[in-house]
Amino acid sequence: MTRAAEKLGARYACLAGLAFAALVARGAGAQDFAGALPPWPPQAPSDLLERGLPPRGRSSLVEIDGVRWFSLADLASRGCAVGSAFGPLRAACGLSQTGSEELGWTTLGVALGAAYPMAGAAARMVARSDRSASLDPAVAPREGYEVGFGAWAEATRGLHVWTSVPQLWRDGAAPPLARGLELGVALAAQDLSVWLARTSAAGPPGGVAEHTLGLGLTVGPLGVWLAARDRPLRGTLGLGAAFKAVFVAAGVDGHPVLGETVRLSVGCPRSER
Amino acid sequence: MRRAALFVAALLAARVARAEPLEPVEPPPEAPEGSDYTVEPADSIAGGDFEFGFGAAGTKGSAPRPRRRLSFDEGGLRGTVREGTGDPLAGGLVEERSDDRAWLIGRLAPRWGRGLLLGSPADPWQGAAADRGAGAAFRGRSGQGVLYRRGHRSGLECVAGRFARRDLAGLLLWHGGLAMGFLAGRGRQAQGSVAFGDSGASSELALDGKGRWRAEGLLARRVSGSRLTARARGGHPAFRSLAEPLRSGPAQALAVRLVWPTSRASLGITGALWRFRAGRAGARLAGEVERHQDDRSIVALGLEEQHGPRRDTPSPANAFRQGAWGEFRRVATPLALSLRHEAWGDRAILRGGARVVTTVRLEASGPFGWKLAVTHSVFRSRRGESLYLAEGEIDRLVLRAVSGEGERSRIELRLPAAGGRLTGGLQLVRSVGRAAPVRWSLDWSRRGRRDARDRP
Repeated sequence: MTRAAEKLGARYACLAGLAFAALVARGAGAQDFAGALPPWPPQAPSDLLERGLPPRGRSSLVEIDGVRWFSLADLASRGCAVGSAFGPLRAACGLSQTGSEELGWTTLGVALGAAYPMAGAAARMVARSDRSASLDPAVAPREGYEVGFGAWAEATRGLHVWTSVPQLWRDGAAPPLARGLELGVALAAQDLSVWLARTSAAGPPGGVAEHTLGLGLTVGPLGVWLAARDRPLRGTLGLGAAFKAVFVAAGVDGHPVLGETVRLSVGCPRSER
Repeated sequence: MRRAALFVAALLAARVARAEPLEPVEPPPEAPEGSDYTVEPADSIAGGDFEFGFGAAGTKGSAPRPRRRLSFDEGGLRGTVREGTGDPLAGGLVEERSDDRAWLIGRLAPRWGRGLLLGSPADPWQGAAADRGAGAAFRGRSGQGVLYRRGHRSGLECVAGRFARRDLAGLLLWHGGLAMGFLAGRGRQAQGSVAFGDSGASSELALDGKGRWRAEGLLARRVSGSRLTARARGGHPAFRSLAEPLRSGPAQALAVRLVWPTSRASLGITGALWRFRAGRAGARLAGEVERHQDDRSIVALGLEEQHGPRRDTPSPANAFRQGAWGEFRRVATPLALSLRHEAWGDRAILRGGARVVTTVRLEASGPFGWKLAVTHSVFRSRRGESLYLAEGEIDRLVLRAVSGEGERSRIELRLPAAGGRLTGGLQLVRSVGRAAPVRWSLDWSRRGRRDARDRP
């Protein structure tokens, strides 16, 4: 087999994998800046960039994320995000790459919002460009944009609600995943937290919503969380450790058809001002 | 200020004030099924205030439709006038008041007694119609004409105008809580009623020229810290109000609502039975629980089951619906957030997927009166299902009829400009299988107060 044919075959295999992943895992949530931290509470720049949820705390953070999607060697995301706080303002920017040079894409994200003790909200914008645009300029469009927002509020003591509309407006090339409106509610009591989220169907007609039920436990600097999703039924196990100068988190999503997705996040927080 | 955002809140607040559940909003029975319905809020301007506004609305590729409005309250004279191409609220009402008398000319929405004769009897599960009579949250459009009122404890009210494509004249006499009303139209059409009301009870008996009658009574009591409201209605199925035949409602109804309020929460239960005529009856059982964090936020959950038709329309007589909804609202500055999700099915345990709606609204406000609001709804309704999304605009509440599956987004920006406020809105609709044009609106309005030196 010639090198060109191998390249073409690998490209179609990767394309099929991407399409299959996008179809089955539609509404699975994060994509470009998919951190390994649990969905609640938002505490990292990736939450701000990916879902528009500003962290409550005032610490600045540098975060590096890596995701290997569905055990596919050619389908991995790696990203870096920086978040900062100025009084109630929260800002973040990040750069991410997914996939191979032939079929992957590069994403630039920025987000700006505000967080108060009882509520927070932010707008997020993402621009994507196919990495192969320079190699194969025949097919258009190669760039895509999306703008959305997210918000959270404390409903009663210990009970928070959040929403995320990551793709309020889209233009250009279609995003790898069509993401719907996410509603969530989280109940926290001391070191234990429980959350329930619902993501509306987005994209093709006849879609159904996806639900996530999660449980988190924090013991000192260590944290562990479990989450279950439906359609199809699958689970996530996550572990994290936070120290003064660094935090590390890892998560594994099991999927009955597509295989495992492994996430890793490393961050360096700066002390609160 | 913040009127657009407050209209939906006003509707909800009005229902809360009447101890009614925060159930989904729906247009009144006379509104055509599947069409947008627009309603205006009652005036909020105080004595000596005036407000005028200019605006335009349109869609991409079509000519703008301009509209204008003026509201004023000058001593004993107050009114609102609206004008605009294709504006469903075009028209006006001018009111002249003194200590014991009032003249009203223009669009009228009066209410006598329980509304059986003039006004509108509420749906069986409601206390009163939200857009009829003095003190209603919204200004209705039941007729055009002239109304004269005189007296407080005892007095009379005369009305003459065109209601429901009929020329009508009416007279109401009252003394204390007792009132007698007469309504007559061309062609020897005549109806009369006797009504009685005080703070805890009200009733009305209405009769037409052919001997057909309708009676309704409402009783409100406090029982062991809870509020109990009971309502019963009976009468001839063919009785129709001359003024508002489409709002006559079911001929027989029985409804009970019980609310247990506490300092931080309340639990409400509503049960209602009704019957329009033989073979067309319905029942509804609903419950909701609300919890207030403070004056600014509320969490509410509700469940409901309904059998039979809510309206006397050609809908299936054995309609069954089961629904659940949850709502969170936080009304505060600089960030206000409201979330609502509701799901309805035509089989038990919410199965059947009749309609599902999720709506979020975020408002950010800042100095100098600027405000940015984003409302996003995701909906899915089965063919033949009526689904309305409430959208508060600068001077109106629009219930948008939607169908199928899609998303609806509205972005509003308000800025101070030229001594008033400028509000721009952009609406994006993404429906499966249909491409809807972008809808826009622009409105400038100014509220002022007459110089104190000019006042008597």
